[in-house]
Amino acid sequence: MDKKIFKQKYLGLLINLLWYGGLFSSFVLFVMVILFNLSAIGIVNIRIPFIDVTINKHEYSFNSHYVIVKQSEPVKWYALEQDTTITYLWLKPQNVTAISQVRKYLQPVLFFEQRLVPEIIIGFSLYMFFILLVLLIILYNLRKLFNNYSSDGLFSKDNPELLQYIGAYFIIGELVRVLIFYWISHSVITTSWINLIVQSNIFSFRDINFALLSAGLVFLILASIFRMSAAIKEENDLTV
Amino acid sequence: MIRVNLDVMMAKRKMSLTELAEKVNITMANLSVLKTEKARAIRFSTLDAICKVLDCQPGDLLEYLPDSGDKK
Repeated sequence: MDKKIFKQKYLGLLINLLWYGGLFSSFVLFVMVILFNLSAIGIVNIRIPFIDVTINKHEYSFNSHYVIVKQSEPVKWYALEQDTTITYLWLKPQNVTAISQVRKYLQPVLFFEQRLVPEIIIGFSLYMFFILLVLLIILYNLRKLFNNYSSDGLFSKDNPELLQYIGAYFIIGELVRVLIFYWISHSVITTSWINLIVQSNIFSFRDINFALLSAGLVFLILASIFRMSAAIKEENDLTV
Repeated sequence: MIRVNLDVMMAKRKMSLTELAEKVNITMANLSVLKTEKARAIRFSTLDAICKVLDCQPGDLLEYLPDSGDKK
């Protein structure tokens, strides 16, 4: 009996740590990414540690979306900061003649003429914020679930609803994340870069994380099981 | 619905709730659940104990009233 209480304390500690840690670290990440984006646009001149977007000099890849920059002789491009992990491609205005049409209707960010690559950074930062938001919601519901478990017992009446929320956010978060990712990569593709850049955007199933979808399904099944057990428990409690 | 006439028998035998709970060996919470008709089921063992303590028949405690259209 004592061992069970002991284990419960550690589990509670872990879940609370995950929740508060997640909250704190997402706040820190939010601030860092905002500063990072501002420095990409050029408003702020800060070097941000720990943010790791690996863009090599000529390639950049993110799942099924890749960008390859081929260097060609007449157009010069300048690397802004070469000793960080980011290489910004800076094209001087007089060299840029092919940038004439921009399809704005699918772009998630504004198009700056002089600095081209930071839009990718901004788009994917938004994408990361969405993921963090879904993660925080799931952790919050998990923590509520655990607090219910500690105080009322495992089969209380609001547990099935919380489990349903967790399952729903897994599934919805995953599907919406895929859509956002496809939207961002499509808008990056449809900006008319100069013809140094080879891009592809195929909607592939590799981008969908089926593990998360199945985890969501498992939580929905658990919710129905807990609903039954809550009914049985209530029946049992009111048996004199 | 089934009505529980526990207070009537308790008044006849002049017993309080706490004393009855003690003698029957159930908690006060359960006894109040039974008294206020929130109980879904009663075990035969409990019914047996209550009848033994109050010296009555189950029919003295439980009464059937036909539902007049309303569901519980």
